[in-house]
Amino acid sequence: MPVSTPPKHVGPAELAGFAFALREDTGEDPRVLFQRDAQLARQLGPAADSPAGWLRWLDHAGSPEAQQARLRAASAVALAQVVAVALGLLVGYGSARVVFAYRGDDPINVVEALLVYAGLNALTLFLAGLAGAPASWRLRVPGLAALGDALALLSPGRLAGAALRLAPPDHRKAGHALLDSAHGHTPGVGAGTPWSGAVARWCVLTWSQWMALAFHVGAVAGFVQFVVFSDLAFGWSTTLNVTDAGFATLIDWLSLPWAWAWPAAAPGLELVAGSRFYRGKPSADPQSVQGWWRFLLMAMLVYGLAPRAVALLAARWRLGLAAQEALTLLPGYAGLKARLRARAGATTSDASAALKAPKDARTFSAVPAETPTDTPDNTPDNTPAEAEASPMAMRWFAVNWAEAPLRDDTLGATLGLEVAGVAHAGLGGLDADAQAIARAVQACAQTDPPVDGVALLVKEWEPPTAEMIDFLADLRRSLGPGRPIQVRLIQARSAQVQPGPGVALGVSNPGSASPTPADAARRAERLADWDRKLRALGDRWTARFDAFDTSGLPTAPGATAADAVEPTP
Amino acid sequence: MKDGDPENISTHVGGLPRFAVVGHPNKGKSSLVATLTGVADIDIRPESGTTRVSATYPVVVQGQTLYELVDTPGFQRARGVWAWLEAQDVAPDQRAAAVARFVRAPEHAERFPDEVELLKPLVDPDRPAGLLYVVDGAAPFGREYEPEMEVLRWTGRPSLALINPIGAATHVEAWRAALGQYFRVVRVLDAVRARWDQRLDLLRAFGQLDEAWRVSLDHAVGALSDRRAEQAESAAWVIARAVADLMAHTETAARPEDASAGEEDALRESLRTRLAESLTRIERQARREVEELYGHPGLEREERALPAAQALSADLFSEQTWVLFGLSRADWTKAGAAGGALAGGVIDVSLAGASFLMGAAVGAAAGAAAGWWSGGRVAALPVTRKWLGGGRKLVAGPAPGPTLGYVALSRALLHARLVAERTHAQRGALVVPDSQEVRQADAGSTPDEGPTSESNLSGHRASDPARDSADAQVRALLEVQAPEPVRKELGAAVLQLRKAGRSDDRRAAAVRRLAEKITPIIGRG
Repeated sequence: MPVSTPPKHVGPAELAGFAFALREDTGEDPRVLFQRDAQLARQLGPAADSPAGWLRWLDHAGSPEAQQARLRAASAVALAQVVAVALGLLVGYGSARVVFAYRGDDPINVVEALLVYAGLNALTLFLAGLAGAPASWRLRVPGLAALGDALALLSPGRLAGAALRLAPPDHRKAGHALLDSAHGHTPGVGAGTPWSGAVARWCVLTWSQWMALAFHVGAVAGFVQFVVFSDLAFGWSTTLNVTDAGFATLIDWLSLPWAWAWPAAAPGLELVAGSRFYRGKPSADPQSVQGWWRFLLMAMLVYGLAPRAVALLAARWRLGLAAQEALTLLPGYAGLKARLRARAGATTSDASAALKAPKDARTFSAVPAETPTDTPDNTPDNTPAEAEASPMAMRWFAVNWAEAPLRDDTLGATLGLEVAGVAHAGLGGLDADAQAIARAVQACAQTDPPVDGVALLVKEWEPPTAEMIDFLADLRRSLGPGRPIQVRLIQARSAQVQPGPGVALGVSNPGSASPTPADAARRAERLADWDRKLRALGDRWTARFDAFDTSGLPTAPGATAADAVEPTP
Repeated sequence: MKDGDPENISTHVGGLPRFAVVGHPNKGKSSLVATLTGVADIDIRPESGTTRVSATYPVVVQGQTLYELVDTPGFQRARGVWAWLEAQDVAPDQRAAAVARFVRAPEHAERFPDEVELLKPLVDPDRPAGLLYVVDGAAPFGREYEPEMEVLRWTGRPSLALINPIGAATHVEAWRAALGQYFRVVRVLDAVRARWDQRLDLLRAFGQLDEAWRVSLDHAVGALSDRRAEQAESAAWVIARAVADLMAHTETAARPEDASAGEEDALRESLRTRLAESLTRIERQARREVEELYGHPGLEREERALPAAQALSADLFSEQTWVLFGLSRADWTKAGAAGGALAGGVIDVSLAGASFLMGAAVGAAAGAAAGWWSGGRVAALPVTRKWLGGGRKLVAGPAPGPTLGYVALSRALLHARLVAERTHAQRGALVVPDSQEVRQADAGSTPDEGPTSESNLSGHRASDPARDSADAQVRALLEVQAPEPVRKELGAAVLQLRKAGRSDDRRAAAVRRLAEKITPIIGRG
């Protein structure tokens, strides 16, 4: 099978509908299609990934035009079938009128009737079998593929297809889409894939079987009419050197399928011998010349009608297979299958709820709504402390949050700040945070020399947690309004990206110590995140100072940047 | 205590495997969930705290749920939680129950909304989840992580720590040492760029967490592998069909009887344009289907300035594309000569050598000439007049020779490989490596990486100055995708498609053969 188990119950009409609907989808945004099919897949549940699911999709997702295409194709197929049946009935009845014509001279030759309704039937069935043999068989035998193609071209079902030319324009178009798409000249079913040719071939072969079946129905009907409403005489005659016993044996063999049930329809040697006639010398036994009709009726039913009924069923089955195979290769079908499959196992309701949650629900609930940030490092509200006074000229009390990598004794020099004292928070129990706040408040209460604000030193590579935001809020509450709090993001030397093996392309720059564009982008995102969270505090006196890179800033006399950076744990 | 009692959670194991992905904010939890579940619309953002409620993502294959991943918010106030738990002063066997009490306490829903939400699946009395703790291996370990790890340890749930380097993996060892004290299993995985085999390995590692889950997870690995194989097969059929369509496609237009030469030329040109548009449409449709097959609907393909990066987005008929992907005229000449020599050789053999190998020589010369000639016209889209209809129809296409098929196949393979390896955590356009990245990846690649990622698809010859051109790079891409013998088989399959002509049977067989050859290439990852 080409792609996977194809859907069942797909015929040419469904194929046409799918082809139309999928072709329409090619112009749509795949994400829109994903959403559309997700709804249906959720309704169908696991059945979405099944033949029934595909057909339900066609019913639901197909546009009215696609449904029309399907209906028109179905009508075209049905119309061709009607034509095939009508032609078959007509020709079959006509053949009976010829074969069973009796004008009182020579009796009707049983051999001729057998030849037409059993022999010829067997031959055409064989040829149909060649035309419809699996491709793998045809390709194995040299010349068989070409012969099969030629036989398919000569199939009488083509007459039914040709009759579509007389149909209304829409149906004619639909019929041609089915039959003429094999070579890709028209945007028909499958747009020229080899399998669309198979569909056309089996459409024709199926119509042929309809026609042949109708032919035998017509012939049987004609025969029964003659038997009932006229007086027929049967005999057998041949130029070949066949003895009565030999012919009787043949008849016995032919009668085997029904002889056990209807002995009267199995002529014996006596009837065979008594009904042989020669040119100009009719059989003398009136009983024997009438005794053949039961045999002939059964022969027409068993060797004419029944095989054709089986052949029709087989052709319909193969047509279904061809349609299903063509469907799996329609442009867009694989995508449709993937969409329905993906959605058969979609997220649970809580996940859906999460996805549907408004974006503002993702911000911290206790803070005012965010204002848009243009760029992380260039926000108007970012530096109120700077606007009031230069931080370099102020005295600050430092709070090191969660072991930001700066040593207490050199951090002032490293940061270029005059530091009045250092406290630690963000680790251990929450008491440590309270103590740090208390020390900051105490320091800020000093007047000689005065402490102008608090610098919170945090790790640049970690996101701002609610715990830290809580700390800032508590600190502000304790300090009161107006006292600057600057948040300094400390980037450890070891936190600079050191690209190495195993890093995917485009993320880092192997072998280089300088940050890659991807690293820079991630850093910018982190800074933006900090700015959002700090702005959400609603405190204009609390802001992020420029992100600080310990490797790049000037250092105070006697302290180098390297000295100031603690080794990373 | 009754079964299902919240106090009894620590004894509850087995059933459908379920894992809560927990950790600090912004460490790639949602990315990991997206990668492992293949769900494309998980909200992944650079800002922290975007996940506010837990979301369960079942991994379903053929209607059967294999396992579930729960995406959770990050720890925001872990020290507060840890302080509360420590204050409970409970015996070790009651610690999980203490965590459950923490989650149930109404006041905590407001004070610790993130922690309540993330701990909830771990203490679910009916289906407690195993935990998957995610940290960033590109950032240093810090002691501030200890409270959350302690809290997680109190849950008593089967646990696995995953080091997810968001950038360069410079701190992996430090993290491994620290995490080893808290977690039974520690793994390293780039959640955004994890290869398929790495994803399966992680899934197998989940099975190590609990014996009762092992069978289910082994089954999941099998089912996912099957689905992966089916995706590769489906993609291969899509590509093979598209190549067949491209090679056979024609466009027809009626030619007015009184059309002048100029009008006919204009008609031919418009028909040629129509054919080119149709072929481009067929190719795009196939790309789109492959993307959908791998769960990437609407994926954008990024165009870059460098020729190599234009490989996926360049127009199929641009001269550059032909040069980059098509066979050179020399290739064609050589191929033609070989074919001609073979045919001539048959004559030599039939004459028992009486021809003094003249057959082979003449055949090679004729074949080479034919190859050279056809190589020069690969980019031309022919428009012919259909004389059978009284010359009233002009037919554009099909493209002559198999080169179009070869070009389309190469492009499609490159695209399919990139799509197949792309995780659902990756956002943005599908990027084709440019020359600089190719060189960098070549310098930084390790032997065990294999040619599966976007980086490694770019091959190992980029550092060779002789091949330092866009053309050479793309050839290197193709070489990595398909080794020499496989490329030859592909070429033969395309040729077979070409030779099939209008015979449905032969075309079907050729498409089938091509799809069979493509499948392992796409599925190799």
